Amino acid sequence: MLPGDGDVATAPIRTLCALLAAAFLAGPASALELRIDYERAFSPNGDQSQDSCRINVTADGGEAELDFVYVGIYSAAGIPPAPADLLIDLVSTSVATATDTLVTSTWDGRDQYGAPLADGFYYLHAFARAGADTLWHHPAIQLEINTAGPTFHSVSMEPTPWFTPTAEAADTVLQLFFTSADFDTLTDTATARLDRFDPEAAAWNEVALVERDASYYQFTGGVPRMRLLWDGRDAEGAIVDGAYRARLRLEDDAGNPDDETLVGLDLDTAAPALSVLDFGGEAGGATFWFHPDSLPDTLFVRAADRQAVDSCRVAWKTGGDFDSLALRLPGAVPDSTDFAVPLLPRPAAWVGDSTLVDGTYRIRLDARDEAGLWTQDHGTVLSLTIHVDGEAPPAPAWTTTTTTYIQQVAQLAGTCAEAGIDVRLYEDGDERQTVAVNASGAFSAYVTLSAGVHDWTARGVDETGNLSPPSAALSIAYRPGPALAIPGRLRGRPGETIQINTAEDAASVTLRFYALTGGLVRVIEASGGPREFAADWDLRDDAGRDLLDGLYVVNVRVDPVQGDARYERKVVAIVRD
Amino acid sequence: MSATRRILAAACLLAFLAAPAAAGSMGGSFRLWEHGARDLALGGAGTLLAPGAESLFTQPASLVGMDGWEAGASLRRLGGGADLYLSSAVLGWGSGHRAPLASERTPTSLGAAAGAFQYLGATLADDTTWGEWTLAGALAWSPLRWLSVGARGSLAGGGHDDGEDVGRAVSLSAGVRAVVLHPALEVGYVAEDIHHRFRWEDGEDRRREPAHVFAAAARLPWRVAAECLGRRRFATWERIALGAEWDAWPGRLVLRGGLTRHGLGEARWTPSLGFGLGLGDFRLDYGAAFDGGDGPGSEHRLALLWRGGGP
Repeated sequence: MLPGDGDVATAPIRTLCALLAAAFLAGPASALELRIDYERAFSPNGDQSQDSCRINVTADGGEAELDFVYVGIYSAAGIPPAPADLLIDLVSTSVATATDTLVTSTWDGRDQYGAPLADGFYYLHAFARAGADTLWHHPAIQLEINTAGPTFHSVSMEPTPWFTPTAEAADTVLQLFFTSADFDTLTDTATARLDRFDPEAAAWNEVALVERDASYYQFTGGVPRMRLLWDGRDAEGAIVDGAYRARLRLEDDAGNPDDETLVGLDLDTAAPALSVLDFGGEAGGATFWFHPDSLPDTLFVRAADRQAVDSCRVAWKTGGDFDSLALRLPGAVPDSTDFAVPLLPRPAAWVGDSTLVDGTYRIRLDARDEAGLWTQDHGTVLSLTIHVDGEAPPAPAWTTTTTTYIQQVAQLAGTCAEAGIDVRLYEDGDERQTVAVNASGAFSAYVTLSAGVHDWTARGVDETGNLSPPSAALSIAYRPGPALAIPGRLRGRPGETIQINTAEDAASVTLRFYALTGGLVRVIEASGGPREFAADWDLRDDAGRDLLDGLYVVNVRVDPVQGDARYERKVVAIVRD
Repeated sequence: MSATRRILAAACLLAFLAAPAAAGSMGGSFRLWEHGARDLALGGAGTLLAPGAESLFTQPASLVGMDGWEAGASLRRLGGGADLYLSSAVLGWGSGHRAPLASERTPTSLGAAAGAFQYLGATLADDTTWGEWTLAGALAWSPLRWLSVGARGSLAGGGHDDGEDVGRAVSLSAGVRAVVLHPALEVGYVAEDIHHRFRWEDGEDRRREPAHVFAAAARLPWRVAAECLGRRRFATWERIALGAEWDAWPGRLVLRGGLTRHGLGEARWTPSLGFGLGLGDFRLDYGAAFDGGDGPGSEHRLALLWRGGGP
């Protein structure tokens, strides 16, 4: 609008502009001050949310009386504002008698002709005069009209959605990039809430909150590009392997609805888990026993990982150390999790004979996922021990010295020069039971006796099925009926059970052991009943001390259910090995 | 070295030897067993009342009670069904007889020595047999009229009759007795097994924990004498006994009785009775302890003693 075109509305403005120009050049010469409270952004779209912009201007003239206060909206920020940039006068008030005033105004986003203005930035200009020589202009304030809400244009992650912050030479920060077509995204609030999946509860749990990286802004392809940064740590500072999702949210400050989008990612700190899939018909375990004739030629291994497995390597230990040459297995390609390790014939890359003789061998397997995580660095390598044994164990020997029993269950015991194997027990040549040999080479088992006299033999069988020659025969006599069966010599071995069969039902049987000098050294209540009782003596006194070897008198007291107690005394000898 | 210094040195040596060097066990056999029928009749409280060759088995310091030589033999059998028997023979000799003062009741030699042999046989619960033998020797010395000391060593062996389980043991004990306060009052102490080692052939050494035996005896009017005794091991009184004898017909008949309290495990009381018949240089003693029911069984001993060579 040009001067002199007859528009009455612009006449005072032109006058003011002239005054402002003079005041701007001269600067404020009094204590006159303007304070403006306003809402920067609003969306005049009738959704009842920030549809207008509230503006409160407080003018303080100090000692001087205010002449007037002016507030207007312009399309440019320049000072003094150009009349041509005026969009609407909000306030033009002359206060002649007051030294300060408060002016409240509301802008609905329209110009002085009532036409709605387009989305964009506009500028609030306010100035006041207190006396002819005092004019104060407030710096221009940017206001925003934005009737369109924020929207995620695109979301991407760098380096990849498989985030491996603990991998060697890997990025330790995940970048969540997003773009938005909204022109004011930079002033909006952008956040990402990280949820971790709990497989047991089948639920997502929020573990971290990250905000927009304020230092990063790019304008590419006609849209702004921003980012959020996450170092993989949850609220407690821990880096936990698992499936995650990021809930990105843009909150608009002009009152338009927020926008939210969801992206999935994986935080990977775990290397592949290795297990034996099949090894001669056996799965799992770490120790294998094979007879040379049944040694499998291939070991099948499974490498499981949430990512694809990149490779698997095997090392063979024949001596004190593992072979320095690790074998990268053929077929170890991404997404392949099962591997075949050739054993026979042994690969040329491994040292030693091409065949396996009796002995112990060790294999160590390691795997790497696509993120570059090796199991040996981020897990437990699979270490296998292979025993090749074609030699039969030595024949066991009986340590049981009691050969006559009056109760049907007896404990037979013996030793075997090869520990860790099993012993099969035979009664008159028929296999009855299998029992393990402990680390010290001893075995014992409770067996059920057959009436009469029978020969018991034992044969050792090792892990690979080699069977030892039979032991010497142990003739066991089982004669049921009322009797007292006490070993004459007690050596503290398994099976030295004192058995008492009573002729009638008994309430209890008590054994009292006396030294030959008359001192009572031990009292034992026999277990069982009502007619078959048994007791084991550990050759200690009541205070738990080992008794000295030699003769003792045992007094067996039987308390029948009806009638008086009966006593029987025997002499026993402690003969420790 | 004066007699007093010798006594002090012997007492120090005794105390040193009696201190246990390492944890030991109790019970067992391969040892010198109590032998005398007189001792059994007194409930085991005969360490001071029966000075003579039989003291070899209980209180070696009492050997000085011999006036000349003594020879004895005894049989011991356990009743109640346990098949166990013990036979013993002892020979002793005292030297340097002191003429007793009017107030003294116990004849005392300056020195004495004795030796014994025992055989213990048993039938075990599985009807197999067992046999042990023991050789023992002892020396006693009375440096003062009111004091005597003695030491005893033994060697035992044997085992199962199949020859598979054969053991050996050596043992050393020492004792002291003294007249205190009144000529009729005596006290005694025996450190049993102050040195002891036992082992099976090719086996490990094992040791019996030393026992401490304290005794006091009084010779009362009307030809009555009494003794009380306590045996202590592992901080426990294994046995406390009281015995008395009445010389009913001097030189012909002695009546004896005793009461023993066994303190290990379930405490129990065992009464005992016995008598002695004098026939010139011979004496025949019988003793019995009654321990039925829950006990190890009653016991009977018969002993014959022949004395000679005295003043």
